[in-house]
Amino acid sequence: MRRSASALAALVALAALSGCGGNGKNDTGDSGQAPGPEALKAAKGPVTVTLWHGLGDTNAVALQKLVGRFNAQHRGKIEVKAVYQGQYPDVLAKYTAAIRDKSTPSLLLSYDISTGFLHDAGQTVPAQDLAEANPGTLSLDDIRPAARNYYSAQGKLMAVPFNTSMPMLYVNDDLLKKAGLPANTPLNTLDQVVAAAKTVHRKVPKAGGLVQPFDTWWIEQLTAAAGVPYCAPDNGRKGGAASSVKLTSPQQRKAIGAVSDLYTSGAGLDTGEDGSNAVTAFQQGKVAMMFNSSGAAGKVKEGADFPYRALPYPLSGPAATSGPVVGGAALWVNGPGHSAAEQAASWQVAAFLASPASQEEFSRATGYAPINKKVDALPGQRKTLAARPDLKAVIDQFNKTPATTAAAGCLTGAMPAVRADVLGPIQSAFAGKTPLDTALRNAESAANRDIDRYREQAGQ
Amino acid sequence: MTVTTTPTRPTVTEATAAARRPRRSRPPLRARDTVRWLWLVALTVVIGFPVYVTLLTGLLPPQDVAHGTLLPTRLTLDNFREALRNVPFGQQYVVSVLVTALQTGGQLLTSSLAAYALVFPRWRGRAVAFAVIVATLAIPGESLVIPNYELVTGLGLRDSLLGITLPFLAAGYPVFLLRQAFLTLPREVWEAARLDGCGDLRCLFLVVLPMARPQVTAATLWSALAAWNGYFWPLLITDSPDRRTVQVGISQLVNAESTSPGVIYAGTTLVLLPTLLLVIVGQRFLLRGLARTSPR
Repeated sequence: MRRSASALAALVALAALSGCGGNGKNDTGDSGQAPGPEALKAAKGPVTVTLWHGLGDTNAVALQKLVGRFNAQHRGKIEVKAVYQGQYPDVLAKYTAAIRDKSTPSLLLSYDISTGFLHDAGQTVPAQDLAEANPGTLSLDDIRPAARNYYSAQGKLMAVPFNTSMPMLYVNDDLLKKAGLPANTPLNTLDQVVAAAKTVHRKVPKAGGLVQPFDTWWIEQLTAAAGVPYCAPDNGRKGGAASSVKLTSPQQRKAIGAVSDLYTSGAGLDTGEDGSNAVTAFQQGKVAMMFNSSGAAGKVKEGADFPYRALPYPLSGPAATSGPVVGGAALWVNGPGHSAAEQAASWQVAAFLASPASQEEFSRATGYAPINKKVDALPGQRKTLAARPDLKAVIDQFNKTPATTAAAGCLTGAMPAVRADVLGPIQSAFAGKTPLDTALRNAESAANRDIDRYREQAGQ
Repeated sequence: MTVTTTPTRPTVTEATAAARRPRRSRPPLRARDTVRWLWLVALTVVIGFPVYVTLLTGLLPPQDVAHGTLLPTRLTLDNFREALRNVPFGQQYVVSVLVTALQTGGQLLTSSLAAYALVFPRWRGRAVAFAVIVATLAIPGESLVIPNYELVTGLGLRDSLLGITLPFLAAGYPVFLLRQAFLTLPREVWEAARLDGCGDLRCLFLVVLPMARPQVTAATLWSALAAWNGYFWPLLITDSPDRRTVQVGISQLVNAESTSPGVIYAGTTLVLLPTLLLVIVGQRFLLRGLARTSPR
């Protein structure tokens, strides 16, 4: 997630995370047999499903609409109560408090980097088990591989992705033209983007070449797009949990160095951590290119009065193994403390929210990419994509991204702390205050201290 | 005639005196006035500009927000409609007012009682008690969140007004503030009241608190501000949208991936406006209250 949330919430989340990890659990979330449809049939009276989420503004309205439709379809059987619990880090902090208090919600929509913690906390029933126990509800093969890859550990899907986004490259064609770059200038690789950014900065007075929100998500993206894992071993996806962060591999050094050079030479525009500021700078025509989330597509469209394009995030590694990491959030069904009927009902809700019809509607209202592949074939979606090349670019990128270890991103419960550790040194290097190699080494060792601490507390 | 001349004489003298006075002191006064006015204008700009930007941005269409327009050519109410559509601000405003009243009232009551006990009656160990109270100021709020959550939930007060305010009904800072204020009061007055047969509670409410009005006002403002601005705790301990405070409501206008600044500013204006109106309408009383309690 690109938005940096309130410091207090993050602090509490971290404090509570370590406290919870101290329970010594290191399971994959298996907590007995996943309940099937018979559990729901055996229930007396309507089953209430509490859904906690961190969606605000239009996203929350769109979710509420879907929930309303589900409730109407299941009147007398299942009733969903969707509750906003603050922004994503707040939701996680509240959920962590709820674990200690044994008052977790039936269903939790939690953001990408909480995946490692939720996996370790052992409070949820793996989505894969629920899908197998409830045939005909949601075919996991319909979920886009990149999203399925992100929310899987040891090859098993743990949560159902709901709202997913990807990093994109937004290009101001006017500024490229002013810089004398032809309309078909290739911008598929990082080197090509960096070269174009330098040209714009050199040839167009007062224009920046590239802007990106200044948070650690972008360092993770540069790493994945270079085709190397962010954490060892294997991003924590294959065997055991991730035990260290890697920021100094030659491929990473090259990719991060290329963007860092843009910033230290003045061709990169620093607008701080907030993604909205980068969007504003792009809309004002101050910068030729922008790395930003696909979720920003709607806002870019609202305010930009010049021709622009949304292109796939540029790679710097081989296409077969490299690709951006998905962002967004996924639905986790909670096990301990919830009846079999409630778990089965929660699964029905998750399956409904991930269905092609729901995903098409939610995507159109919010700009998030639909996680269900079947949406692409729907006539309404085809029409939408024909009119919106920026949205089509997101879907194309999703479908092209390989389900590899590098593109899955790092899976560790210490991820929120790691993000905070890496941010300071990288900002300092991009501002030209610290040599990049020193900054990367500092960030790596700070992050590894936090991973060690987390592993110790989690008994890994 | 005499009747008319008699009263005019002093008027004339007053007028001449008044005319003479400024003539003598005009140059220094004018310089001082200019500085004072410049200072006031600067202060007004510093305070007024953010309020202006908030009001204006809430009324601008997205494109103008993106371009940072300060002098608008077109205005819209869309952002306000969107903010009101997403969040039940009316209900949340009522909750915020109740929370602020309850929390501030509770804090003032407990802290004035504590400060009174620490200053007037002499008892063994009050220095230690005061040290313990001051030490609580050093405990970071974050570390108390989880224990408070467990306690309030254990008491069955989750998702209730009392649950939001309970952990804050006693606070160290107002105790400290009022204790220092009470120490400066003449002890003889309290002793006289006691000799006249005044009980401790009557002494506190009828003698001590009225004498310490400026500090009581300061403590009230501190408590009310903290209560009004509370975000994380009210969010944590409540679940229903209509039991939440406006600060939680505003956060709901923030969209994780792509924020609409216009809508957030519109929401902020909705929250700010009643408070602002209250200050504008009530400033006369506020100033009068401050003036009356100025140094004796």
